[in-house]
Formats: sequence, C-alpha cells, structure tokens
Amino acid sequence: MYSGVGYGVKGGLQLSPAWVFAPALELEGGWAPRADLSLLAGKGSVAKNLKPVLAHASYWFASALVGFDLGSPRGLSFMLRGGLSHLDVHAGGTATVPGSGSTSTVELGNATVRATIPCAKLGLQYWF
Amino acid sequence: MIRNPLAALLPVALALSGCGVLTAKLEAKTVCATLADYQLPGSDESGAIDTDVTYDLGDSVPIVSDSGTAYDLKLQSVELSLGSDSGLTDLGGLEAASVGILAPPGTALPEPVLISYARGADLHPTSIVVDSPTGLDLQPYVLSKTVSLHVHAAGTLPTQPWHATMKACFALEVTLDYGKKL
Repeated sequence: MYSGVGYGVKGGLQLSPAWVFAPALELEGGWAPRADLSLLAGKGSVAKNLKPVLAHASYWFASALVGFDLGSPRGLSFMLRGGLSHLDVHAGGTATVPGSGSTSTVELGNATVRATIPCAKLGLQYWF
Repeated sequence: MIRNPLAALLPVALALSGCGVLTAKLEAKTVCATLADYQLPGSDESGAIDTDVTYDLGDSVPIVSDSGTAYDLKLQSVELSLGSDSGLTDLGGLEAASVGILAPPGTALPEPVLISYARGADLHPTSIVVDSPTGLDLQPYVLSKTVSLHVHAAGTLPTQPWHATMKACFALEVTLDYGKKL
C-alpha cells in the first residue's frame, strides 16, 4: 500500500452481518519501513531543520474501529467507521541545527512518537 | 460474520469512552547542545576551576518553553574536548571534575551533582565524555529555555583562561494527554 508518506504493508479483519444496514467491527494494522514525514518540518513546534530526519522515518499502526455498512452485502455498500489507532513513528537520524543564545548548535534526533489517536474511515466498498 | 456483532463492539466502545487513552508521547534520545570554543576561567590558587555553564535549548527545542506541557528532561552526558585554539595540548591536568545542576534563582530546589569524573588510564586525553547516572528530571530547573550547570574541576589546570568545546546531551520525553481536554 502507499499511505501518502511511504510504502508499506497493511492487513485487517472485518466482522459484520450480511444485512443491508449492518454494524461492523474492524481491526487493522500496518507497517511502513520507510516514510517521508518531512512535510511536518516547520509546522507547529517541529523545527524546520529536522526535515532530513523526518524524511527517513518508519512507522507501524494498529486500529480498532466500529461503524456500519449501508447497502448490498453482495454488491456496493457505503461504509463509515470510527475508532482508535495506536501509532508508533520512529525517526532514527539526527540533525544539527543552529543554537540560540550562547549555544552554538543543537543536535536533535533519534526520536520516537507514540500516540493513541481517534481515527475515522469513510468510503465505498464492493463485495463479490 | 459473528452471531451478535453488538457484543463484539463492546470492548471498542469501552475504549472510546475512556478519554485517558488519548495520549501522545515523544521521546527524543538525542538532544545535544554544544558550546563551541567556550572560554573557561583560569584556575585559582588551589588549582581548581569553578564556573557556571548555561545551555540555551531555545528555539531548537520549543517544547521547553511551553509552560503548559509536561516533559522529562534528563542529562545523559557531558563532553569536554579541546580544539587547535584551546590553549592546552591535552586535558591531562584535569584530575577530577563534577557537574551539578543549578537551581533557578528564587527557588529552593536542591543542586545535586549529576556527573563525576576522575582521570583514568589515559593521562593525556584531548576529549572527555562522562555519562550521567542520576536520571534526575531537569524540567523544574529550566528557566527561560536554558539549563545551567555548575562545573567544578581540580588538578593542574591553566591559571589563564582557556577554551574548549562543551557538549551536553539530554534525553527528552514529552507526554500529551489530550483526552483530558475532551
């Protein structure tokens, strides 16, 4: 799969009855060994100089979602899901940025971000 | 397919109802601030040097200036290295040293020693790296984005000011519990 920031693998399990309007439980996970998160550099409190570090990140995630399917269980249906994702992003490189005050330089990196965040999915699916 | 899908949804619904699960944690194992060509004072009559060294993490680590965010900042190591313009050929005269944290003015925080050094087998090192074993959280000691350390060194040190590169490495851990804000 391509997630927008890198290639990786993704898999999941969906449980739902074959009804026109059916509740659904979905579990999924994925791993991307190489992700380019440099788009985050310079945004919020992320230093712009961290761009080369963020460009070589990796991540994995696991999600649990609940929602519903609306439509034909043997054809086209609309899906809506909401839930939680656990995200683990690792950027193992370092970058040296200019310091402030009496500090000449600051070396930053070898960082990991772990987050549990809300997630949602909206889409169309076709069963055959 | 499962017989009762609503029963399967219960654990997820319970997870969603617990706002405390919405957290984010950042760990930066490398936050090293360098004072290049830093001037150290000459030794006193006893051959000792006492000086305060301030590291400004400033704009490079914006989280330390955000008073609303809890974080752990721990000193990992301090490195002292000589350059071509240091005024010393080696650090062999440095027999012992200690690095302590300085409390911000007006606070009653203790000022423990974070690093101790005693000269080892190498009698003429040009660079010394000493790890800090304490793991003390330095967040209460951060003032205006800066961390101040007190360096005490003893031995046969120059009586005139000299220069060295002083590098302090920290580990930073930030936890955001944004579920509390929901």
